[in-house]
Amino acid sequence: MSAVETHAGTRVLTYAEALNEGLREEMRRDARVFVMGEDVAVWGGGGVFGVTRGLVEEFGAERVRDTPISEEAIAALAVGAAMAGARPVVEFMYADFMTLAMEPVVNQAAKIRYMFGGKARVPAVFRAQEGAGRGNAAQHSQSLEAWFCHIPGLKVVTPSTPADAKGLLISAIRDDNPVVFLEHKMLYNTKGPVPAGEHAVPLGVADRKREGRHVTVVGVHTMVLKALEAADRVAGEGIELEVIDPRTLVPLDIETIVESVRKTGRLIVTHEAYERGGIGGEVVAQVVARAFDALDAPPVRLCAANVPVPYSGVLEAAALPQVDDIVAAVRDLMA
Amino acid sequence: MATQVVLPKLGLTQEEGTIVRWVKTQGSRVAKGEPLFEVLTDKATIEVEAPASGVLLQILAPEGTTVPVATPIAVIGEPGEQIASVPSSGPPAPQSASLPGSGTARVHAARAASTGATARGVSVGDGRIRVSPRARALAELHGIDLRALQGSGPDGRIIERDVQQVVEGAGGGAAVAAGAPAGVRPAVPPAVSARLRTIIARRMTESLRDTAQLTLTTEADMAEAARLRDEIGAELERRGGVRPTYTDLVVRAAAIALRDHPRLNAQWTGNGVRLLSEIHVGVAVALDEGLVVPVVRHTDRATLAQISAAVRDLSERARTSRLKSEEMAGGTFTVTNLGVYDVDAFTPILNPPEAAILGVGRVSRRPVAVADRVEVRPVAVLSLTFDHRVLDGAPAAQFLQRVKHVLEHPYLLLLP
Amino acid sequence: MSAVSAPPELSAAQLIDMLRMMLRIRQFEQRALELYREGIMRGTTHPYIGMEAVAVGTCAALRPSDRITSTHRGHGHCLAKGGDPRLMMAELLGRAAGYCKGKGGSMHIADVEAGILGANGIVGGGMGLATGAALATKLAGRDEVAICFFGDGALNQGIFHEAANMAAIWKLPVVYVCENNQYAMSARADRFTSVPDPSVRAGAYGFPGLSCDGMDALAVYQTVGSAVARARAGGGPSMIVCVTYRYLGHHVGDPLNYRDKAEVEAWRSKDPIERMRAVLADRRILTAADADTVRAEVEREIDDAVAFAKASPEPDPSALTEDVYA
Repeated sequence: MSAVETHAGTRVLTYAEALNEGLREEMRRDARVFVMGEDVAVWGGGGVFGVTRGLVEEFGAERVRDTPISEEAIAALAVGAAMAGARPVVEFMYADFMTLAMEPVVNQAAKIRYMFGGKARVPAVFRAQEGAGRGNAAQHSQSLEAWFCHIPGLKVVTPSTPADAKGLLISAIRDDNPVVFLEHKMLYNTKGPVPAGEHAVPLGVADRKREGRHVTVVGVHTMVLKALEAADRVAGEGIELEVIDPRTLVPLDIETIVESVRKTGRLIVTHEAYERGGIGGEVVAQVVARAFDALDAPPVRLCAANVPVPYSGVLEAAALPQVDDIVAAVRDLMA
Repeated sequence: MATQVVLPKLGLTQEEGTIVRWVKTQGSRVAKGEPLFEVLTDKATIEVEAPASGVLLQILAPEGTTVPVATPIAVIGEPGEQIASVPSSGPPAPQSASLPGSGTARVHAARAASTGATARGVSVGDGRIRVSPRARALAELHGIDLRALQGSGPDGRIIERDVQQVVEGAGGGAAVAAGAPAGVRPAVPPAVSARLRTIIARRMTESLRDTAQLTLTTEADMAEAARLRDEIGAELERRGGVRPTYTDLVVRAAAIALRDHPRLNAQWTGNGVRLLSEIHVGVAVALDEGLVVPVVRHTDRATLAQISAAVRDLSERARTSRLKSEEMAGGTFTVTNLGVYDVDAFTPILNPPEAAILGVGRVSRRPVAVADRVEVRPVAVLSLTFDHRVLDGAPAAQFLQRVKHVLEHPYLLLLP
Repeated sequence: MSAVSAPPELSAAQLIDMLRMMLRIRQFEQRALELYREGIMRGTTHPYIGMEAVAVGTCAALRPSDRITSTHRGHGHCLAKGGDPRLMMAELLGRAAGYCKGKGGSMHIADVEAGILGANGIVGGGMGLATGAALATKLAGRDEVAICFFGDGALNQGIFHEAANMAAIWKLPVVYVCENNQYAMSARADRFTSVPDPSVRAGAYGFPGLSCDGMDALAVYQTVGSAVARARAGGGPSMIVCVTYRYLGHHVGDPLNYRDKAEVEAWRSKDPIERMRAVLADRRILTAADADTVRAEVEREIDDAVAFAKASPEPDPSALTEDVYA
């Protein structure tokens, strides 16, 4: 676990409330921080998912800025503003909509520092929520983190708990690099203890959410929670899962994962992003390269099926890795 | 509860066996202890008894198939019975609830087509040892011979727990080599394989205990052989081949002599001598871990150049642990050479179930009487150990004499 | 069209500086072409020759703290905004002493401290950046202005419309300076742009759009300068279309099979440098001989930049992984 400083104790908050608190604290701390996006100020008091709720009352419409439906410009303005000294935190209502903003994110934000010989910085945070589980179908349910992980110059953050959501968002805002901060729509209402006050979780440090000896399960977003549930299920069979949440996919704390696999000899990587080209393959490749001799079984990926996310509840559940799938894969590995 | 019949392990280094004949037919009743089937190992055809009484419900490995040791080959039980599960150590086996077809596992099965499934399907009988990298590393650390292990993982893959059992069973496993400097590089895996050492120990003791072996020696003038070796060696090298060693010359000479003296190419079967129709000469190769004897197949049909290439290849692969087990099985005669260590003569120990073994000493220049004159000639001592149960001294001596003759007239080595 | 205040009168020294800058840009571009043809420059280069009045007239209206975003044809903007020709030339040769340590090249020269937010390899890539810089300025309560240089080809990128709309609704201090040099690669502006005078598109977003003679640095100064003053005063964005011409191809090696030599000659007769020389002579500020002296000085300056670039070391391969992240 990273260092968690608590000044005013710990409360139970939802993931959305924790993000809201992180944003609020950073906006209070640093006048250069501003929030911009579609319906971040007025709708429902702030944000379709409530992450920016109440911020406009405290910080005003200049710093909590509703935008037209213009994703490319939202991203591009964030890059320009960041170059000119501001610290924008822009919101994309759905990660799927970031496909419209790929040019400024990929060609501008990610490149500027390197392309300009280290003489510029782009301290922008691109927030979006992704993931399936609510019947939002093919254009509102994708997990697209692998797109961004592929691009040098971007950092990619995927918190799974309220405490990490707050702590990682604070670190993302303070980071001098463009950070793609991906939330998960099914996590917004999950609750957990969150330190009040200063709570920065460093980027690039994985968190061992549960210790175990037999199988290492690396999960992203909701899959961390499902892995923990699977761990409870197999515990009665004498099988111990070690659940690792990388928390940031770039930079990736591969050392913690490798260390765990050295102990367990077995690896499952699970995410809601499509299997093909997903971060799971990257984790597996790095583990195989660094700890081949530690493997007692072929690594397993449990990812979304390589199909567009379907609408029907039956089909959507079938497209996503479930607790039962983790349990079955664990039993296969331990057979 | 029905009983699975598995292919038994009938020899220390046996990996697989071929079902020659089912004595009982599927559906027939069989009593425990009755002959059930015959299996061909690389040593012999062996009759195996039924491990349980009941009906031979199913024959899984039909006649003529070759399967790895411990593979289920038949089921004995009463009609309608379930097959007893194979006991496994460590965490329990998967529950039926997790099998494809139940609950959400269908999802898993559908999606897992490119994950778990691709890990399987290594074809059976390809000679590879299926072993996880982790198990391989652990085995190396403890000097455990993977060939002697049975895997409990998917498709018989050797996994960590299989090696761990041996380590724990052997009380820590790795023995330090006698004479190895103590305290040097303690982190490096010990060079001596406890497993291989155990096998050698048992086989050599059996050899001395169970056979009637004695050794004959003679001296061969190697002047001509040396000339031949130099001349055709240079030519073979020019053609990209391998320069023959003295061992290669002796292997070829022994193969020629075995053709003329088949009683040396034989085995004692317990109630008689069995002459072997094929000549496969093994060549002893000394490794740090112990002695191995890879075999040159059909040695009598191989040219000297082919023998040289084969011996070079086998010994190089032996040194890098890349020999297949079948390449060390099935020898009918062995040649062992200690000449490189300045040994003149010695008494080789028979390599059971072979009837003879030929030791080669160093080729050294010594004063020799040649037609009343003393000449300095390159000579080597040949030491033939043979099993007196299989043959007597005179035929053994004739064989040795023939080897000596061929080496002293080495153009004979070049005849087909 | 709302009234805009005229920019300040230019002094004689400022006028001479404008001529000097146009000569510097032209000389820089000619030497860059030579370096390219000598095979010591990689990639490609997009010459700004013929369009010098736009960059020089615009930047004459700016303060050092104002910001610009540039394009793939960006050397002129960079020099006019105060870029150092030695560091630029070293960057063209990919050297360690270049603006970007050899990692950017011709299309990515930037000097953020000097307000140059970078040339940009993506057509329209600077539109959002300039608009965002203007937003940051507004949020910080400062009065800097952002200039977005772009070509007629970028008029039809979606980002123009998204950014212009945002600039308008938020009254951002940004001026969109369209360099209508008549061609987007081989495409004449009238083939792909729906209106003959693209400045009318500003009207769609409710802010001023003006056209001016982009071959006349003083006309550009007057027109852009008014828009800059308006933006600085909180009046919001403007769009200025500077009608100009690139004498040479899109980049070196352009087959130029899409336009007549006669057309080129007609435009060359309106050469912005000759025009400025004539103005200075008319106003008795600079004689022809004095102007020649300025040109000789600029030539020596660019020679020096080339010598500096050539003498600069190649980047060390160890720099490969530096500066990916801050």
